[in-house]
Amino acid sequence: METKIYPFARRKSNVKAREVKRPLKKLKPGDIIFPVLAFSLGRASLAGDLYPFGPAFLGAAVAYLGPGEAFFLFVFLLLGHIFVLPERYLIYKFSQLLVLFILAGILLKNLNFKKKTVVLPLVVFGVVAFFGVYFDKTFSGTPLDFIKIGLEASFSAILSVVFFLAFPALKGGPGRIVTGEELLPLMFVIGSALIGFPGFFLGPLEVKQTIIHLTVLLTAFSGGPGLGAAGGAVLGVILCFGNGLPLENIGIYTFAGLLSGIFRQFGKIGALIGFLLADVVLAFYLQSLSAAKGLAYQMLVASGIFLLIPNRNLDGLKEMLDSVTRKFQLFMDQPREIARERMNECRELFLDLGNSFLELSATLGPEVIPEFRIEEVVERFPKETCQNCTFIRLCWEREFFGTYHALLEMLTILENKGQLFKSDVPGFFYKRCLRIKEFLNELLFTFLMEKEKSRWQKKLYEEEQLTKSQLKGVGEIFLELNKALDLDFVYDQKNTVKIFKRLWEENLPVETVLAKPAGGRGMVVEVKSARCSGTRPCLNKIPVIIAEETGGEFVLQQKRCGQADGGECHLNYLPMEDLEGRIGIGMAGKTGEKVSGDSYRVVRYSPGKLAVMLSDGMGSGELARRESNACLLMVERLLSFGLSPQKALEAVDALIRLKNRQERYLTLDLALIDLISRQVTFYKRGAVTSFLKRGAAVEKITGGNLPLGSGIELKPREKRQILFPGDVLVLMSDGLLDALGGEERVVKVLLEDNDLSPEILAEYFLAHAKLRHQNVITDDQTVIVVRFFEKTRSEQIVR
Amino acid sequence: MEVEKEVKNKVLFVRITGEVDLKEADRLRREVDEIIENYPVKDIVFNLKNVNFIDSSGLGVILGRFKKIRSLGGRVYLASANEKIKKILELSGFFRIMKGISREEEVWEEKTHEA
Repeated sequence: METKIYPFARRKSNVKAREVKRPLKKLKPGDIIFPVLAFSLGRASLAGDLYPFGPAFLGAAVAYLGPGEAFFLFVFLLLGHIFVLPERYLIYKFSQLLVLFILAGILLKNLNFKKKTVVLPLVVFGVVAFFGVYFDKTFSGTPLDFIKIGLEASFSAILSVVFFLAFPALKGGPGRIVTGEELLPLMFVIGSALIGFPGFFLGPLEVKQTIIHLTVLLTAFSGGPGLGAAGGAVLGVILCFGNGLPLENIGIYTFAGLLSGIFRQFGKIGALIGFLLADVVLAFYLQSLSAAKGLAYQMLVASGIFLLIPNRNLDGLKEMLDSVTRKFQLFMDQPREIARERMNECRELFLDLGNSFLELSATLGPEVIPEFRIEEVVERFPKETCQNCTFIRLCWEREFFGTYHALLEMLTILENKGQLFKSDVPGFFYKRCLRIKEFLNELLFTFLMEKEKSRWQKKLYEEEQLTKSQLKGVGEIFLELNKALDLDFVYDQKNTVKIFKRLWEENLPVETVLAKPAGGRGMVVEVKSARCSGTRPCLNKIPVIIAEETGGEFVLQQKRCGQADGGECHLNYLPMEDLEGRIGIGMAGKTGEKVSGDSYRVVRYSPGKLAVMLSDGMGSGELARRESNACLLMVERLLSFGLSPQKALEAVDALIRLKNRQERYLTLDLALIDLISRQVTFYKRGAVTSFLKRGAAVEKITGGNLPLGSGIELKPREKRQILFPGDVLVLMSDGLLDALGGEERVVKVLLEDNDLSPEILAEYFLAHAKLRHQNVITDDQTVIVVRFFEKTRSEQIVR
Repeated sequence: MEVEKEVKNKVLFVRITGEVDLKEADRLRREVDEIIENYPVKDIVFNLKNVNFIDSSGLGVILGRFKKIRSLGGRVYLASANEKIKKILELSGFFRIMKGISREEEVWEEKTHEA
């Protein structure tokens, strides 16, 4: 039989491959913006004589987009030139741009981003200067000509780097976060393109100026006063030098951007008022009345357009430039994406491994259960004794049926009695056979051989079944891990940003905030802040702010401040828990044993969740203790990891099965308590009854599930209960329950309990059991008592 | 602990007397396995009438035999257990996989019923 190890065979799908129709390519914003920019920049000039924008943009486009995509822009650049340049210059410009296109494509091809910012301006400078000197017909070698060429080449070179830095933002399109390093180059691109934008009037309205005002207003509203002022300044400078606008416009744009940015916190109207105030004041102060009038028209139209832009789009623009959101998204999303990718890789690996092991286990071993059959012994009887006998043909051919029947009869006797005598041989056969003694010996020998063979086949079959089960167990563990890793590294982005912003605005020394879901209900907020000067905002201010932003009540559950944490405070805020459990534990080992074979654990495995666990190892002593302890540790680890209790127990079951040649099983009594929703869920595997006392009643909680390590697939039974303050939960091992005299005695003790502390109650159970057996402990005894009470706010806060 | 074994029509009857604890569990396992290996056994009946104590080791032996016999296509029956032992078997989930009968003879009725 073929055995596949790895990779596992993939299932073949019955779906026939269809011809895939390529969807029509969607038009992206870049498909329109780039040609428009290229056309405008082709038209743009400085002082009407220098055309650095075209080569700069082309060089940047080839460097960032590559020659393939940049060719399209090359065409539009030329179109722009055609509209403004005299005919005699066109061939010169075409050649200049073509050489630049080819050279940049070759020299910048395999360079990284940083190296491109160094090589690109050199290439652009070189090409512009070379063509200016050798191919410009107006060049006559005078110092002025050299200055002109030098200026054009220098501007081209500088602008090429600026445009190159703007390309990531331009290419990214709407929704992409723009960093500070990209915004100003972006403004340069827009400003330069506006130089080349054709100036035309709609009545008294100069369209280009209106667009400039609108750009300043949008930048200020989206980016705040700093970016607004910077954007205004950049646009002002470019347009003043490019289109010969009065220099005072630089001041007007800058001041308008600043004031609009300051007032943006009052919304659109606020930003508009700031913008208009600055424009009107400076316009009237710096310019003539007629110029101011013209400016007023442009401002009003720009304001009108700004008001008409939907808030949704403006918010999107804001988010792109908002430094807080940006910082957080970059801070959180990148490592999250990396972590998610790695987890997906691990998941895929576990899935492959799991399936490989499962397939291997499925192909292992014979399908048929080996069984010893007497008929087979007859069929395989070698008849050595009969070889030279004269009656061989009589016995084995003519009267074959009689011989066969006699053999069957003799073998049946042999199997039942274990031995065969001459008196057991059927009469007719005994009379006929000349070599009866040898015949019987041969028969016995063959029978024993076949029996032994069958015994070993059975053994082999059992071993293979065990290996199969172990391989299946390993495969299942991997598949469980695959499922377990199907957890998105989720965090509550909205609340994280909201809380962070509020804390920042309140001038609290917070460095990071992370709000994440906690077990499907509620939220955990982790805050990292610098150490305070004793004002303790972690207790006074932060929980209040978190509560205001999230609508839930939170308390400081965990705090780590100190030198060990780098002088920072790590604070964990969790929802208020309704309940708390006070624990009492009692343990006594079997008389004569150094340690008890039982193990217990009471742990908080998740915010607001408590696990109370008890395991009884097989037998007693160190080996049993090690096994039961290892089981509980694994359960705790898997629960903390995020596995559901069912899956955690399945994984532990599979692990125990792996080493179950010795047939060692473990019992587990697990109570998972949700302190926020006041619920307890019981998961019992071969464990004895637990008890829940409420008031004057005691409820018995039974399981009826097989112990861990059995590997037998059965639908597990779990039980759920609501908890109230004052309830008492008791878990105990079978050794103690037996020693106490059974369930009814435990119920009696609990009913008689007059609010004993859990510690004393646990000790009482052990003492009572000892007393009943003259201080002899016949089996390990363990008890866990949990008394629940209502948790006050002050009890929940860590100080 | 005393163990009496009998094979009848491919059914192995294991009659246990006494306490089945860690000390005796291993012996019980060996004795039962020897019969399974050397005789044509399909099903097992554990008669627990005279068992007054069984701990996790004893339960482990029964569970282990169940897995062995199941892999050979057979069944395990638990016969005549007293109330205390029955409770332990119930809490451990044994009656969910093995049939409880009150007398050994019931196994023939069960087998006829299954057939």
